[in-house]
Amino acid sequence: MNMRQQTVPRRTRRARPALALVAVSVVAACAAPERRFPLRPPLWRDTDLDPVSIPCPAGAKDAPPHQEGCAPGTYQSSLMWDGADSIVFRPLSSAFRLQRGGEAIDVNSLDEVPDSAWFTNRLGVRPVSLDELRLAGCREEQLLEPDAYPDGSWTIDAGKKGGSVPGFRVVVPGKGKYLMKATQAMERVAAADVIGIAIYHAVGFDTPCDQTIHVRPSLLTLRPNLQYKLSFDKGRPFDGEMLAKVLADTTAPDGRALMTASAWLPGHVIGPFRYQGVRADDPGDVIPHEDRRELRASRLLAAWINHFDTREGNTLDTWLSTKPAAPAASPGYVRHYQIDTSESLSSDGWGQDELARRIGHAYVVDWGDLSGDFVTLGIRRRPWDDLRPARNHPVFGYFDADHFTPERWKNQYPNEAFDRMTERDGAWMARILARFTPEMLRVLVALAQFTEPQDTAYLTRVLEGRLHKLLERYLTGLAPFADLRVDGPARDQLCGVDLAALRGLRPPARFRFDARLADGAAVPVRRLSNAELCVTLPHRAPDGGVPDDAPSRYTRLSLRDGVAREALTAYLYDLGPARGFVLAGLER
Amino acid sequence: MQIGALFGAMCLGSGWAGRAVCAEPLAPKRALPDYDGRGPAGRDAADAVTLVPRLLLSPLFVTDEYLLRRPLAVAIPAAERHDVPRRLYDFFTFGPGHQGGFLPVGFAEFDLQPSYGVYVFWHDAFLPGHDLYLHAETWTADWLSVALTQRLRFGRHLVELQVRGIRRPDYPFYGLGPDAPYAHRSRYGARTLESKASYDVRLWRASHVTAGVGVRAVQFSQGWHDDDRSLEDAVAAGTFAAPPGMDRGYAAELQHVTAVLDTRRPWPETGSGVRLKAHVEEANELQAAPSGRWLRTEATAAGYWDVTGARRVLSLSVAAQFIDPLGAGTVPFSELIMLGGNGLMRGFPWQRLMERSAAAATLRYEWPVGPWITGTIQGAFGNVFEAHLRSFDRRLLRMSWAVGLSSEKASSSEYPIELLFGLGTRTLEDGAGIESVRVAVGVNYGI
Repeated sequence: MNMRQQTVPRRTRRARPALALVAVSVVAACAAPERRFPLRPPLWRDTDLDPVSIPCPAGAKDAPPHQEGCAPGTYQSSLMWDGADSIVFRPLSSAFRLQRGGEAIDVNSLDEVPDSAWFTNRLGVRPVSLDELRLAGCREEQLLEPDAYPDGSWTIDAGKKGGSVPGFRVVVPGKGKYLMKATQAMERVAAADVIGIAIYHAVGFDTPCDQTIHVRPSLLTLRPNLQYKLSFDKGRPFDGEMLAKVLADTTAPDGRALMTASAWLPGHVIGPFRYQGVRADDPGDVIPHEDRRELRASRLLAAWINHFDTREGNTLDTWLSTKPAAPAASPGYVRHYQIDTSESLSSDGWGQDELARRIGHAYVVDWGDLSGDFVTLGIRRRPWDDLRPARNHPVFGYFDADHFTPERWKNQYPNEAFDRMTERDGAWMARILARFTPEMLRVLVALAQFTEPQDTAYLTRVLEGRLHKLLERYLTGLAPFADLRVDGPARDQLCGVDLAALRGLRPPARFRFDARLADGAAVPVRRLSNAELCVTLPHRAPDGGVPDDAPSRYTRLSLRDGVAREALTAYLYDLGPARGFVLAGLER
Repeated sequence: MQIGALFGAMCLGSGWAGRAVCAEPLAPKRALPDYDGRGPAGRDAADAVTLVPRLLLSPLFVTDEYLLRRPLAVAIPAAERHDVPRRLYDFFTFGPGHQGGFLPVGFAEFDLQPSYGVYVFWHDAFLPGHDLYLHAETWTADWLSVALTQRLRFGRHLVELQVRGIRRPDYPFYGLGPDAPYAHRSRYGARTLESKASYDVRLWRASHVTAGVGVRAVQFSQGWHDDDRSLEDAVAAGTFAAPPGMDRGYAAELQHVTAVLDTRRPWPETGSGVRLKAHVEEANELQAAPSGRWLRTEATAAGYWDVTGARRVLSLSVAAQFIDPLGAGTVPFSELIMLGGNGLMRGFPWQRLMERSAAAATLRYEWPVGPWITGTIQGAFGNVFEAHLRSFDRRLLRMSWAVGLSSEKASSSEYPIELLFGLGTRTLEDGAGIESVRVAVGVNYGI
């Protein structure tokens, strides 16, 4: 016998334990048992809305005595670091860690997001009236009517700190504090702000109360010795000369200046939130932000209106104390806001056409595109190759619907939450956006009060076109059923609406609904309208004899509409003919 | 103590970490709800498969995450809070609209000494359309370049005045003629002082005419770079004959006219078109007896085809260059036609080929890579020859290949930032094997 033939190479011997470890792990992962939805109501309210107490730091100067606790510390966002980290360091860390995506964490059994300190279900779960849409994040009492106030009654008590648009804070008698801004191209900026905020609010995000107003300069009284500071600029006096300069950019022939006014948010401001990680000193913040569905899916919202400036600097957290008299005291909780959509509805590349054409299609520094285009000799045609500014609508730049591809939209630099958006996250947002009717879009665009009617018409057309593309992409992949519920006197009807059919993404005849049980048996589907349907569920479990949550009562039904590639699977508990069915969960 | 201070800075500076890394006690986090009631999903097979690769990549992850990312996460926000970016911006720029400023620049290329320096610009200095530029670079005491440029733009017209001095010891010289061997490389030093004035007028589309006058004075000296011989040593060793004018400097006044007919239009039009260029330059030596005079002529014809209509441009150009003495004198060797470097056949190093005339055909493809960044790939056939291409023989042709990236230039008188990789070959007769590699990176002002 040849000894050499029997010897196993040393390298192979060393690799065996590692390979065995991998093999065992793979087998273990594949052998995981089925995870059943429990028989319980879906979670519709997250516990981060419950007040918590945070110990005050030792020696904290601001902590009043006998106080239960303090607010979290204030986080100051760094624009430079946010950009550098997003463009260079975080992608490298993720690449070296072979970081994999996964499904979002804050998703309930019905594939929906509970109400939380981040998100409040509105349009997705109930009708939103046109009046509510117009109010956006405002209460009626927050709406401003400058002409109803006497001259000098609005006091400017602070200059704006940060950002690229000059502005100031004003105290309006009986209303409170507002941040007011004005800049060149103000009509588009104001439109983007109010329309964008209204859309975000309707979808379910917390937003400030933003509104467009026309202000006569004599209304304003300027306190002395004020300063303002734009990003990367030094503090400068905010005096009468500066105020006149701010107003001059947007003053109409009637002498009134167009401005946006943003009501001061309630609570104690503690800075923006990041799109990654958690806030260590917020006990309620336990889900990495990049794994929150509403943040991930807000990518589609940003894509729709081309809100390319989506970054932590355009978010804000406030601490809502249970004691209004002590806003920085515990107990309380952190509320998370989306603010400042003023860069949307356009493609302003900061005055640089090379950048403006790429806005929404590539990052400002897009390593993938740079290397891909270099290696492939530019063979691939890019969207910006064919872009031309919107003819007759220069305020919108390159913002259009023809060159919009929802799944390829990019903001100015990578956003970790956006990068981790899954198909399910996107489908969830699409189901919400599907509720925006053409009439609602007209109401939203009317908030802009464009001087030129054709600008109103153009923007409406573009928003409709982009929305259609978004819905086409995300309502024809995963099953687009919504409003699913058990209905009927016998509670044996599973009813819902097909949002793709509701939006007319295909002719009605193309939708052929099919429902099947786990064993493949077909279940009749009753079509109530073009989009609404009900499925009569057959009972296979008795009224009693086994616990309600017994596996034998667990029923699975798959539902297809003949258009979407994937089916929806509904999981129900069959409690018997007397008590009917309970919807326990949905999977797409 | 330094580590403690850093820890303290991380504690204070990173508001996001807040009190998590500090000594302050934090309230316990709330329990994560079981959102769908099914409990944690558990690991899947992909987690197992990536386990070993993640272990292998962990050193890179640790380097990026803990040696770069986390310290910078403290340092950069702290710098921003202390207004460091604004102070730097104010330091490097001047003027009410920051229309002036200075930037560090540098250039590095194989087989040449690198350089670093400063570029100062002042747009609309004292009046609109009046720009001033200062560019200074150095490396060793023998290497210094300073150029002062003044431009006045008014409408289609541009007037430019420039004074430039350059002294460097590493000019390469390989010998004259189409088959000068790469191995014969030697070095010479030169000190050049030049002043010129030119007038340029933009005509139809990208066409323009330029006329100018100037004075150039050149003094030669012993050169060096790495282990290369000096030109004097190479001549003494009989490697090649002394090139004309080597033993004396010269000063000459120059006049030139350049006419370019270019049918191309700027974006968003396509990049297709035709370009014809003719250049004539006459030089007269000053204070030399007998006075040398020479005439440089160049002609280029190029066709550009925008393949996709989106600025993916394939071009073919044919160029011929000549320099001839007028009268009995000779042309100093530093004024001869040269191929390589920024000129024709960019895959070759600077001044690789020298003689009285040259011809080259170049096939080039350019495409947009990113904002203001263009990719180029080009191949060329050509070589230098005796006067008026007298010794032209296609077996003497060489090939040049180059690929790279460059920033887009706002005008032909600006200098791009480049990254270039090039190859040059021997003659076809010698088998056309690769004889040289060229790598260049930086702001390419030329040598």
